[in-house]
Amino acid sequence: MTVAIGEPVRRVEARDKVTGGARYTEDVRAADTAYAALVGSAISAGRVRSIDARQAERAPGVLTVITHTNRPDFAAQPPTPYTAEGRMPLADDRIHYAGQYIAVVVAETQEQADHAATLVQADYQRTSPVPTLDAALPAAYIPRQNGLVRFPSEYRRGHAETALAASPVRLEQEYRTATLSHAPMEPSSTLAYWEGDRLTIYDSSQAVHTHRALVATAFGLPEDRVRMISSFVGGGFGNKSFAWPHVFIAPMAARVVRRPVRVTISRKQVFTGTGHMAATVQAVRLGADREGRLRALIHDSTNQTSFIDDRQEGAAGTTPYMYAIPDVYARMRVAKVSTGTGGAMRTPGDSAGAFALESALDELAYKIGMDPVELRRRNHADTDPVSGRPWSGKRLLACYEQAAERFGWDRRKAEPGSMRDGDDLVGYGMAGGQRMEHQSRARATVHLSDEGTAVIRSSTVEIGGGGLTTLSQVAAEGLGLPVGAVTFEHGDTDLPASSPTFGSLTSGSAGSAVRLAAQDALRAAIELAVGDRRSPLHGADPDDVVAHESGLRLRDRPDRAESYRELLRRNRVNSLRGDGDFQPAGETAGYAMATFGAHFTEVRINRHLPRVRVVRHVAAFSIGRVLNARTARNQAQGGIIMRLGAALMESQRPDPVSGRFISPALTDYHVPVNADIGEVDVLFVGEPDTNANPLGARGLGEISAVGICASVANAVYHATGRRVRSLPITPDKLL
Amino acid sequence: MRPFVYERAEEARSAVAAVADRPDAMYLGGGTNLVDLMRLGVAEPARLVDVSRLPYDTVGVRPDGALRIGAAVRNSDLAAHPAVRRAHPLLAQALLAGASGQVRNMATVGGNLLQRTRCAYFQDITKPCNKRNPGSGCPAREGDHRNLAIIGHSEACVATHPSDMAVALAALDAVVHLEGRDGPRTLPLTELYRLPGDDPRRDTVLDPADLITEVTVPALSFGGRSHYRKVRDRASFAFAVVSVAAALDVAGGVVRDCRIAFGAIAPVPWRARRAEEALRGAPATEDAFAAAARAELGQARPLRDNAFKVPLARNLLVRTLTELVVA
Amino acid sequence: MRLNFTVNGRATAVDDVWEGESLLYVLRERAGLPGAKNACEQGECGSCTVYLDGSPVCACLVAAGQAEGREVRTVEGLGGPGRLDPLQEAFVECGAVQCGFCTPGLLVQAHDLLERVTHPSDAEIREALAGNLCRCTGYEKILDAVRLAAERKAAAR
Repeated sequence: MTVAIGEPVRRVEARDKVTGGARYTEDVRAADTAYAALVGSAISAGRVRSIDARQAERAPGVLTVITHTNRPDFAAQPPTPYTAEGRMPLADDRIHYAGQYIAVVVAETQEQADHAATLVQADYQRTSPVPTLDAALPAAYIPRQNGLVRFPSEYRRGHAETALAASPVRLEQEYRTATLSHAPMEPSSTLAYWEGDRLTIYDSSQAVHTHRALVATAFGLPEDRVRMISSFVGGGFGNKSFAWPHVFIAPMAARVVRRPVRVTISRKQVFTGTGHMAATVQAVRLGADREGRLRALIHDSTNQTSFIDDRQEGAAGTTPYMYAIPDVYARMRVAKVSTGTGGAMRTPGDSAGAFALESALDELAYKIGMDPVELRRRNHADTDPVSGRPWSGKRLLACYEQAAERFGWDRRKAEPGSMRDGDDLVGYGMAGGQRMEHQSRARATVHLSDEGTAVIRSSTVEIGGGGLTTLSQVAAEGLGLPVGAVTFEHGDTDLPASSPTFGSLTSGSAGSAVRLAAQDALRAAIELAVGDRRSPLHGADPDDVVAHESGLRLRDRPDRAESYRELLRRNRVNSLRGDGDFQPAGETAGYAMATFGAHFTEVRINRHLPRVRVVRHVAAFSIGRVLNARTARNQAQGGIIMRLGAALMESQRPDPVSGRFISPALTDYHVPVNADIGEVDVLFVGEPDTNANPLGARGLGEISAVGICASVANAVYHATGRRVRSLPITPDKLL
Repeated sequence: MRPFVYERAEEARSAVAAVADRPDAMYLGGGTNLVDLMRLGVAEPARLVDVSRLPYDTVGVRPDGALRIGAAVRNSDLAAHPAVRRAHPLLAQALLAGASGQVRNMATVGGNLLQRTRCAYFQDITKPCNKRNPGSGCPAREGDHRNLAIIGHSEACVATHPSDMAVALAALDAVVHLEGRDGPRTLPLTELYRLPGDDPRRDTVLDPADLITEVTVPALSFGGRSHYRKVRDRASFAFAVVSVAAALDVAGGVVRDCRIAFGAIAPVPWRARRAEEALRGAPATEDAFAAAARAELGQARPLRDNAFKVPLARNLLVRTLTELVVA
Repeated sequence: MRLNFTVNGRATAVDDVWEGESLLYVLRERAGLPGAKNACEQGECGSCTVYLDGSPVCACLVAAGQAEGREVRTVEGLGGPGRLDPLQEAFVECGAVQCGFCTPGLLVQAHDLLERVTHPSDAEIREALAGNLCRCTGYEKILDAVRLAAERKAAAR
């Protein structure tokens, strides 16, 4: 049996990526392409009184300027939330946020379009913006539709207020998270062209089938007239999970100029025009007894949303599932701010929520003088506290234990400020994390050829997570092939519809589809062999035949074997097709499914110049089966570092007057650089979780980024005795 | 970006002539700031006169020990120059603390000195800004100013100067050599810059046609005992929140002489003469260093959200001087 | 205007270049070399790093005219025909690549480091690569790859 799953196989597309050969959307060329530049609103609230595009239209190379006054109509508004905004681009004269597109300039070259875009003059009628979440808070409300969030806006079990009042130890605090940007390295790009009423779109999309349906609706086309291709995506993190306005603008402009049109948004437009993780204010109230048993929890989160959409951040969504607490109340409200609609950013809801809840637990641990790990152990939820069902493969206690040991948690002196190294204050902190696992329908085919090779066909998109590699391993193992014998056709709606490449769906859902397809192809090969007189396997019970070294053999008789190549060639079969259609069992599974993690952080802070340095971080995850030790470790490290950024430096600050982002640029929106990084160690405690799905794997991309901010903030408290409840923890907060 | 004419200057006089005749012409050095500002629409020259290949690309040491630095010398080359590293470590450190390797490979000495502020309001042409658009107002005062000035600013402008290198050069009494409409002249670096007052439009006293050709740094006997330290929001590739350049001459536990300048707290590289004065003749102790910091920072008038820069600048100066004593 | 320069060892002439174009634009849109990536247009991220006369620069900030007569080397020119540079090999081997968008610029910058410093310390590597933002990897495998390449390059010397 070829063992491929779990092996640290090299990334299948790595060679293309190190030679400059990998083609991202902006690298795709189509003959006669015209280029669009998008003009953003200079104000954050009001109306466009008029737009004077005459100067722009006269500029060299300009083909057209499209505004709300002369745009073609869209056939329909496709549904949110995967249409990111509940308003089509250029719909009318209303301005809801700064940077909202008010005009599209199409020209012969990108440089000409960019220049002409600066010549478009808009006259505005300003109204008072709501600049910040604080300004909006008094009008916070529970939205009628909660869009992306899979949890109810309000959750109640028992009587949390009463239980809280009766608790011997109480804690009440407010925590704040900043607006964050995905800041993928690749700005979104779309290239669209029409051939009659057929539309082809190359788009840096994380979900081609999902987005194709939306584009088809917007242009009134049957889905099969639209083809969407996403070859390689230069970083997603949720940034490209949605069809943002530019995705609809490119085909619209292409129709107007009757040529292919490419729209690549600018770096600033990445910040203003493709979403963010919305700022939150979260009140947490905890009641416990003196032995650290939690009796009551109230988690009340409010996040900013736009005037176009009610988009919840979902920060209290997972809270009811996390600990064995009898009385819980959770609520998630939104408050309208003059800013763009938020998206889903790694990890939606849970990253922000865990900062509040896991910080509060740390505060409680100090209050009652208990080790923070012990506090969590005592309140461990052995079964899902919401449904009462058993967990499918929860090994959170092992995460605590193994990560604590690797970290050396026993060296921690409990007293804050008690660990020093010269001028450095040393702090140890920890936190847990949980993400409810979900699954999605996914399809794939595997063609097994008479060369002894296989081709996976599936619309999954390679956004960097390593899906092409891990899914190739799945097919290779299923068919007993070396990974190098498997190739992948991906990222195209002409292929079987995979799950979207977001929501940590690839391993569990797309992976299961590939496994089923590989099994189906194997079954076909076995049938062919046992029915073929010339095969050494002729007449065997199909159940006794297994895949082995690029062929088949009897499980107990190694001598009765033959290669796929011999089998297929003899039978003059070019290829055998296997179909995989994974349909999640969902609520009927009888198990509750989630991924879990534990984080331990060491910070060092110069007491005079208090910039927090994370010198060591150890994380352990319970995610079931790990498909590729190398890509998994690296993906988890990336998730951890992304959240270290949120903990220490990332903040898309609004101008307190206008609400505009003050720093939509990478010079000011600081993400961690190489020099910021200390040791980051990652452990996986899991074993195959076959309750979850046929593959036994759960998602990693998202759980890797849950709990880190609290772990850092808790370490900062341990180092300094100062509790920072508002992210990011910049030097000014520690002086 | 607005269309422009590009020309490459062959020698300084013709470069000056090319800009002097045209109010909408500008010099182009490494382009790391100007090209960026042109993309943002903040700078809109109709003509760029590329001076990056003029023959001011060497570093030399005069007989009196002074450094001569050509204005077209790249920041990375200057930082690596043995004479700089030996005699003026603070200058090398300041250069290496700026930007990234790629940007330092492009940025010239002259261009570095003439960088514009990173104030977000200045960089966004849709917002008011007295520096960019005189009389339009300064939204930073009421707006986001966490990283703007605490000293030397005015009602009209609270921007800071972004250069690291210029802070070290301000401490070192560098002299700027210019080629202008009326021929060559020199100017102490600290007099190159002007405080905003009620006219923040111009960062320097230069005429648009003035071309920086060279910077000289006089010999400093205790330049070897010097340091540039920078606090920023991440470990590298970020503009300073506060920085300090300091050189210290200590004998018998007493400060004989010193040079101190702060960065990122003022509209100009801030030479801390009051602190220097307080230190000369004082014991080389933390208390004396703290008193010197107070002498300088007592003038600070922080804004709503940047008062933290005062203790941060104080701590930074005290730590830097303390380490120089030990060193 | 006409731009004459050398790209990856080949003399290249490009016509109809507008003065306002960047070297990055010329490489990507006119010279058929999309390896260097267009990610920030402002020297903020390092994704467009290419060698210019032997020094890595942000191609997005180089005005086209400034490249006249100069030598440019991009990620496409790091290895030989059908052969990877040891640094590229190391990136593949160590798993230093995720989405890959920062990779071309990162390779050029790291390649330059190893040309200048035979045995860089971890801190030197991290600082030298601080101008190359990566949002996927968390940087550890990049560090591993540069270390590995340094060892191999040193051994081959």
